[in-house]
Amino acid sequence: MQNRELDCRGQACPQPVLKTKEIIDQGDVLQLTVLVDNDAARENVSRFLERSGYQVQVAAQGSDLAVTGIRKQESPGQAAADTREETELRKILVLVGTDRLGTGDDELGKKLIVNFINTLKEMGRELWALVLLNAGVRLAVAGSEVLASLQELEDNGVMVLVCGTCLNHFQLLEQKQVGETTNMLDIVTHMQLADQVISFT
Amino acid sequence: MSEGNGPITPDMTILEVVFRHRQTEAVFRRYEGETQVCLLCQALFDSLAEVAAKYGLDLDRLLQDLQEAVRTE
Repeated sequence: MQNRELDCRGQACPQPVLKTKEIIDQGDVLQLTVLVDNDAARENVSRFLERSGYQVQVAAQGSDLAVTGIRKQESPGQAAADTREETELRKILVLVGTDRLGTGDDELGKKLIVNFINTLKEMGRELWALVLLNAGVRLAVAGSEVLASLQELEDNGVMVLVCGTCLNHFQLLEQKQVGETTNMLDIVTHMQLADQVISFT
Repeated sequence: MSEGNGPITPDMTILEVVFRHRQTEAVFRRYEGETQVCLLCQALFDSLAEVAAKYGLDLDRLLQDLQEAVRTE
């Protein structure tokens, strides 16, 4: 594990993020401090580090800004009990590729999917990610009956990933209300990281 | 995330595209004339489809211009 520093002063976007990504992709960085001199670079480097699993702090250094990311899982001072609990928790990913559950009666299927999403929270902290794709993205757009439940899941730390290609296909990009628009590479990566994948298509 | 050199698709973010193909930065800079904002500053984490929808760009033309820049690698 390494602590690294990167001087990106005088560099325009996206260079600070690209250079930060090059270092993070090496995979053994515990802490990284990136020195930038403009707000756009601060915002984008912070956002990239957060999305990469780092806790971010920003400190002014004269007219410059030091963006420091500390890898969350390795944070010093984290209670041993917490660490043990985290490692013992399974990571469950639920993939929903439909806006109705089961076959037989579509109206019943739509009611069942609403009930299903509303009940998902009972999985507790083991529910790690919810992926919505194909017609499943309709659950995350304006008018959906489960927006409040999805928002509650997201607020409780569940990653709600919504397929961008699917939103685009249904022309619903602008109507999405909950979750992070994502792509297939992200979905596949999260499926690989999960301990259990439950799929409804 | 793994990096590859496959085709550029609408669900890729600007960051993914530029990271894989640095010469596409110039394409996004050209589009700033139409969008009136720095796409590489303000939309780095948005997918190409989202960017096109948000700023009223022709997605097919954007993809074509990006592919053209990649072909000159």
